[in-house]
Amino acid sequence: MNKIAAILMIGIISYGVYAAFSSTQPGSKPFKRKAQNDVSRAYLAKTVNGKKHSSIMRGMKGLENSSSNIVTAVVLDYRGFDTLGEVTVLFAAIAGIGLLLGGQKKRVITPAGPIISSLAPWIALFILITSAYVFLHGHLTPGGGFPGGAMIAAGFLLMVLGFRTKPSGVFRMLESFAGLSFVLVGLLGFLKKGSFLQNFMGTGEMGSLFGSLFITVLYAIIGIKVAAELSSGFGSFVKEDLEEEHE
Amino acid sequence: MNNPVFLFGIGAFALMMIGLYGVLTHKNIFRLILSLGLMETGVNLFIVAASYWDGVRAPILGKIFNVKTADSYADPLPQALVLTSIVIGLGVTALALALMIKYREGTGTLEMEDKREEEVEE
Repeated sequence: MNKIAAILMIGIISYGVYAAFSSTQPGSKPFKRKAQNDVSRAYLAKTVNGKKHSSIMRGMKGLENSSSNIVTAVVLDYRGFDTLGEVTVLFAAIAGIGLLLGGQKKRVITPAGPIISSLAPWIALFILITSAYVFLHGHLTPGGGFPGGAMIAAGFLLMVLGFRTKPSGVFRMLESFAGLSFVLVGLLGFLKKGSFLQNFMGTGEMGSLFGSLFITVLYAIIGIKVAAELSSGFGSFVKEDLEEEHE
Repeated sequence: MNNPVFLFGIGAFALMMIGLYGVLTHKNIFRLILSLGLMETGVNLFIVAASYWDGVRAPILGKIFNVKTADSYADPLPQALVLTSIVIGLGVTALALALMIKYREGTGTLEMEDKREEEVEE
């Protein structure tokens, strides 16, 4: 009975969506449209503040931001405040996990087998190097602080699996410190340029590694914060796992 | 029909509907969380697919970017929003799993049952 009701409901919703997307009015077919809206065009051409260029070349100076990756430019330069909110949501979720799963009983930790425990540090080292590459090149290539931080957390998870180490309180500190420095960078922008999270470090050559220092700094902060948050989140779950194993 | 974007849209919609079906029919909390994750993936795929059309490149400027050919790049705005959506989805899933662990500690099971209904049946 439940299943029939569910299928009926899905059918009704499917029909609604089909009707919405197959409307015959011009401009209402999202997958056939060619023209972007003006906001996206301004982001692509870096003309949000009104300065116009007919073309943008690698190595050019004096642009609004010198990020090649437009998604990064939108996330950190134009909508940095949204990103602060996003980081706050992640912080709240991980703090909630810590609250729910914290205060577990301490258990004896048994190490893993020789294969994992001898290889884990090496693999974790390469994961760390790759993730540093990913978040330092966030303005040039796909990637950035969020995937980079997630990769560092994966390396940490590998170390936990290999050595059954207890996650320490350092991660909490690092997380708070990174969150604070994000806000501090924003406040510096407010003091120097007049609006929160505005780029106060200037823009360099477009497409060069340290050309957009502001984005690099913010992404490094986000990378550290996400890594610390995910690691302490994993830590909360791992403690739980160990406890269940020994029961 | 051979348009890849169309396929993305269909796939995204199918993922959403499979997730919705799972949410409506399952009583195991872990399966509910998995279904929510499926729905979320479908929504993300849908938003990214809406930013894409035939023949566009990723919104990463190469050596030379000509303003007149701005339409040959995918729309960067939905992609930036999906980044936010993914992070929030991760937070929601992780918190739901933590709540699930607490539920299991309290009740010893992952199945959701309405105790009152059973009593009435008995």
